[in-house]
Amino acid sequence: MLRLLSITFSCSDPERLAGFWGALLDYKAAPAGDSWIATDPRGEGTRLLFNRMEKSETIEVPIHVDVNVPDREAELNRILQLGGQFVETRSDSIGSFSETWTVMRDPEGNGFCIQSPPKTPPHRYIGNVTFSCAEPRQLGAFWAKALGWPEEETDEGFLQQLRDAGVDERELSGVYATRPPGGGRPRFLFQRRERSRPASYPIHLDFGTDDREAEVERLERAGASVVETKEGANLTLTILRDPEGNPFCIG
Amino acid sequence: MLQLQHVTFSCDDPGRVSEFWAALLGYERAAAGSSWLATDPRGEDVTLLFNKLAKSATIEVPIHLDLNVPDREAALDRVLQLGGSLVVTKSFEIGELGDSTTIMRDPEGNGFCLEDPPNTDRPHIWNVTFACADPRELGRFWALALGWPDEEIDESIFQIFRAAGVGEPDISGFHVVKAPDGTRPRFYFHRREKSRPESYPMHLDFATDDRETEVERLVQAGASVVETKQGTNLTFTILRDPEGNPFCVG
Repeated sequence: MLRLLSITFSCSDPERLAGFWGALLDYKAAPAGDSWIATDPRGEGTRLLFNRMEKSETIEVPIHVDVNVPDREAELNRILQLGGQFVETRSDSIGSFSETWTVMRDPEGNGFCIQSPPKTPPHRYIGNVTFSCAEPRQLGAFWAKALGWPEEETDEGFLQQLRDAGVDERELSGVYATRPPGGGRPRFLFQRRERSRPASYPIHLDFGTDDREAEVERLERAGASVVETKEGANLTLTILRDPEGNPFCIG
Repeated sequence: MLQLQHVTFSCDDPGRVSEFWAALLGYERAAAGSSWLATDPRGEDVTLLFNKLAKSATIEVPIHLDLNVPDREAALDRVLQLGGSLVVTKSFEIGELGDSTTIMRDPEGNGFCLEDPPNTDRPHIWNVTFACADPRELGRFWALALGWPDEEIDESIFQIFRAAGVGEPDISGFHVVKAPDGTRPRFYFHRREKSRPESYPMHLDFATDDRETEVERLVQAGASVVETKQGTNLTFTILRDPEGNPFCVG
């Protein structure tokens, strides 16, 4: 199985971006060679890694993070002070169902969302790693298998509520979620959305595993494709693409 | 100059789709060979043409229609009765600006939007909306093609955006061009990722007085020619705009 090691940002100024995200999530940021790492002092949240690397321009990023915060309005102003940008506050409603979130950009233009769902704990954390994709169920099932996580069940009553509001079956297959057993975080969320297809991804995921070679073989059978294996001094890592072409690394 | 002649849908079942749109907009429908035409009996709004033609599957269509209606909730129910489906009602807030749009699909899955601004007396097509990488540049091309003024967006909107903390690229994320005499529809451009279908579900057909001169002028403005087709009654040229959206000039 894969273990999520870090969410990795390609950036032009790793220190600046690590400072922003560190302050945003109450993480501690520290340099690591030419890169910066931001870690959760509580030991709960996923580590963020900031590498000085090329990234392609994008309109809608393929992978973004959703940050859960106790108070979205207050957080919005704090993020502006930290050097982020506001895009818009959005509400989606279908029948009597409704949710609200705010879209923002970090200092290097990476879009992310902040939201305050009910029962949000009193601290800030990455709630979702969200993939824009063509087929959420297929891609979601691939990642659930890769991580050994169960699919998050969608309440049938909720689906019926959407159907009753006039939503078509095709739309109902537009979302999929999987999360670590026992309610761990972050959740991987898959949404049917058009996305940019950058040559160099602004954000990608790095994973650890006990037996890299066996794992790569297993993932290839599940629909991933190998880009290359890199031999470093301390570490060998394989770069793969998931069935919709999103790159990820296994070390 | 180009004059917008029809918004053209590629459909599996032109009869069915034309019935839906005619009922929704209060248009009259007429068969034309294997195609259907839906026209505004008041002669105010753009004609729709429904051809039996292959179309590629899309996630976010490159071109869609925005409809203004007197009452969005009532229109939502009407669309469902006519065989359409609901996607979602989206609201946005940027500072003191805010708006709600209901996204729906016609019976063949073409997405379109419903809005209900004040003083809307009947449903009509308000925008032809392009998802694009560079709204200002693409807007400029279409203003030139249609002989419409290329006006900047009112600065007061950007002041609200900036005060709310919006920066680039979002400030330059939309553009609009409209006919100087106020005729509909407007052409609206917003920065959105889009599908790049082989066969567009929707495209625009234009008429002009001198096709050959016009094609030359458009190519100079950044369009590219796909091909010229000679029919029995009509010769027309298929072009692509600077972001690859196909359109026809007859």
